[in-house]
Amino acid sequence: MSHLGLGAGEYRLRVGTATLGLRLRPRRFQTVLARYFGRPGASSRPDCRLRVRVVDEAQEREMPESLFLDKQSTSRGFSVARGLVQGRRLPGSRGLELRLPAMLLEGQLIRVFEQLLYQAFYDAARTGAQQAVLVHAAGVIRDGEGYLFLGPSGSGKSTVAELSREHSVLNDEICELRFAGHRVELHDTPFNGFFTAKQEGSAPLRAVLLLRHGEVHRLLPAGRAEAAAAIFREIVPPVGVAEPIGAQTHRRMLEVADRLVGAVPVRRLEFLRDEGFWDTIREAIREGGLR
Amino acid sequence: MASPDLTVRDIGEETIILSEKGDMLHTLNAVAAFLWRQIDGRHSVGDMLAALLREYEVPEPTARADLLRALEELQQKKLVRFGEK
Repeated sequence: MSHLGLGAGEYRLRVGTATLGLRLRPRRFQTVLARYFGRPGASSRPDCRLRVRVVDEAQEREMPESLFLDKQSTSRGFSVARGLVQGRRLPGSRGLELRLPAMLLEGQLIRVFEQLLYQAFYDAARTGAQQAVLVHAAGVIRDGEGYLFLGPSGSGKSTVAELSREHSVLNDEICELRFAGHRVELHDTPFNGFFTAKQEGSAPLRAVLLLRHGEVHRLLPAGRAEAAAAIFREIVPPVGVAEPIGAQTHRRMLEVADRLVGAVPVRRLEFLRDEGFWDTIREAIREGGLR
Repeated sequence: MASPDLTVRDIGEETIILSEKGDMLHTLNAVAAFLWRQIDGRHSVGDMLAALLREYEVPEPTARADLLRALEELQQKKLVRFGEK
């Protein structure tokens, strides 16, 4: 069974270029997670391991929207979201031991639990010389080139994904960007938005498109600072599970946003609810206007 | 004085300023970014006006009005504080 990544009793989840080894106890929660992501276990060796003890709690808790905030050091390790999640680093290995309430793996709250995996991705990604970030965005590969569509909630990421079914839709919620020299690569992630037919894959990033619903399909120029600000807002803060967000985190996010704007064309895309926006993009490329 | 604890990054001729908590993000166009760089606690408003006139070819009344408007905006956004030593 080891070829399925289940040999060590863990569910190995590939997130972009990293692999997370997830061992949840009781074991039924590991099954819940595997079903939620709908992917077989990865065969690659985990870059970061999470040992998660899921506990039933009698007391009612107010569930937070963010597992990035309210992190504290404790005598035994750290806590997240005012003690909702407690943990410690596993000695001598790249891993974390976590204790969290079962509610976080039930219903829609599993979307909040995913945030711990975003952060575990950053713990895992630390080893590489290349810089990698997760971005709230829809990612699509067309003709071997990657396109990143981003904007705030309601701007049309899932709509774009639905309208791009004839291409390879990687995700409508979270994508990985990996910087390698002057190149930027777009990678899939397993995280769940609304679009269910997502595919695994990666491609060189061709363009970033800032989404806005409009009266017609059209591409508009974006100022460099405006583009960097829009990208900054959609970067998943690059902190590990035990690491609080600070000014240094914001500086890194701005640096990444600036680097991305310098590396690939960024445009505003106003679009209608039909796939005609791909014709607009194709035309811009043909006329050399997307460089 | 520019408020401390801000994260500032120049993006080309423009500037992005982020509040300490990271919840407020402001972009400054080239002129506002130029003025921002003059706000160091040593330059007076008159100095800034003179610098603006040297850098950009605009009539003095226009430059003065732009300067005051920009300073007011920066103050409203709590990016600068006036009257402190």
